Amino acid sequence: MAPQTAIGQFEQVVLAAILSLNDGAYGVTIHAKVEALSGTRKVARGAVYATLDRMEDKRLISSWLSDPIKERGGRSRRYYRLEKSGARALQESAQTARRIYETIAQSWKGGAWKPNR
Amino acid sequence: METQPLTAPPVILEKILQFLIPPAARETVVGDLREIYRGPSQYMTEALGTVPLVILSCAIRAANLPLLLLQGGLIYFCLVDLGAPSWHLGPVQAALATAAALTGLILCETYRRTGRPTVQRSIIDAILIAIVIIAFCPETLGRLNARAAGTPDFQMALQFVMLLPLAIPLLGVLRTLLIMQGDRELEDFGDHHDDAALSQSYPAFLRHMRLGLLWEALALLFFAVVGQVVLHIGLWFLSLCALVAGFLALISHVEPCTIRNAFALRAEYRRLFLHRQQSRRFLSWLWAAPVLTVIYENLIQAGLSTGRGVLVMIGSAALIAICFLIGSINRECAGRTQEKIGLLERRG
Repeated sequence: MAPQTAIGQFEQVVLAAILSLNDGAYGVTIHAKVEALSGTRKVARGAVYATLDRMEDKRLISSWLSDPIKERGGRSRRYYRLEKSGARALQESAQTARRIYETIAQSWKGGAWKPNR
Repeated sequence: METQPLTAPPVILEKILQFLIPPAARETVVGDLREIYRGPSQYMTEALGTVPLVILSCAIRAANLPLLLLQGGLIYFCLVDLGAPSWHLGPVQAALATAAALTGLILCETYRRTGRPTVQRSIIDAILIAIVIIAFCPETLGRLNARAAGTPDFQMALQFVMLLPLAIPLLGVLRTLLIMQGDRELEDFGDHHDDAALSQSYPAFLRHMRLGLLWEALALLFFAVVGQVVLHIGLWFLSLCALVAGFLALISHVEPCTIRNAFALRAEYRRLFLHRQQSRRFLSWLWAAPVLTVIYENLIQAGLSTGRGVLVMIGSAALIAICFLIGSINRECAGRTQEKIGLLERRG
């Protein structure tokens, strides 16, 4: 089995955004989804591009250019998709998050803590 | 009169953004910002939060650390080992100059054009370089041979200066040949690189690349030893060549990654093309380094110390012409690689 690639929290959010957007994941939609997933926190667009570049170099995602689009001044969109290693890393992160959640919930049972939805 | 649609940002702002964003990310980022345009102030705010990080990200992606260290070594040792006594650099000065040169190299790599140079650009390059040679040589002749008018050296130097304008068509022809070769190569690549062909040729491509790297490593070692024995270039060159040969042998043994789909395969090809091009550019300068060193020591330095202007002129012209040729070949090859990468990116 291929070695697991460690990913940070922001990378998890970006990967989750790409996963949820399916074939429509490009700069604009990914940024909007990342902001939605991050709650009230404002996310710099440049941080999303930098993270996408980094994850592409780690082979977690791959990208391709669309045909030129008139509304963008004849420029193409760069679409992203999750690679197998990216999906695996995201799955591992989700499992870790679940374990953390369960530990906290178990320790604070009795209604002292309710996660925000 | 045609008016700009309200949904598009002001042309001047977009042009500034296009200038600032490195070519590799330009199309995507400028297009995305145009898509979300709501007004000039919103556009500028978005651009300010985007551009610095995009430049940084492109610079990190373009920088190949092991290669940068080797390039730094080559520049540093050239600066320390060569150089006339009048402008000899100490270790600290050479290190600072090397750091500046490396910063320049990273910036050049970050802002590298995504296509090959145009024919017009090539012609302008050839003319400019010939003008530099023509302007430099009479200057040298005037400085060194003020007392030598009428000597055989002076006559020879004059004849040399008169022949220099011939360099323009010669350099132009060489550049045109490079462009024609590039056209043929790209046409071939475009015709035979669909997903199935790419997948089929991947093992052979990797094998070919590995063998090429190993052969070059061996040739470098041999060349370094010969350079040491015959040309007496210096131990630094032998050590640097040994380091580079080790680096080439190391990267030739990287295991191929498991490719599961066409997207990943194209991404892998892009990575390999880019890394190969970066190594190629450095290696071409490394191969040329001993030739440049010999020309410098035997013609320019010897001419300066003996006061023979003709030697300085011939040496300078040869140095400038060789540097121009290597630069042209590198620009052309880098452009070809970028165009191949572009083709691979658009086949989604």
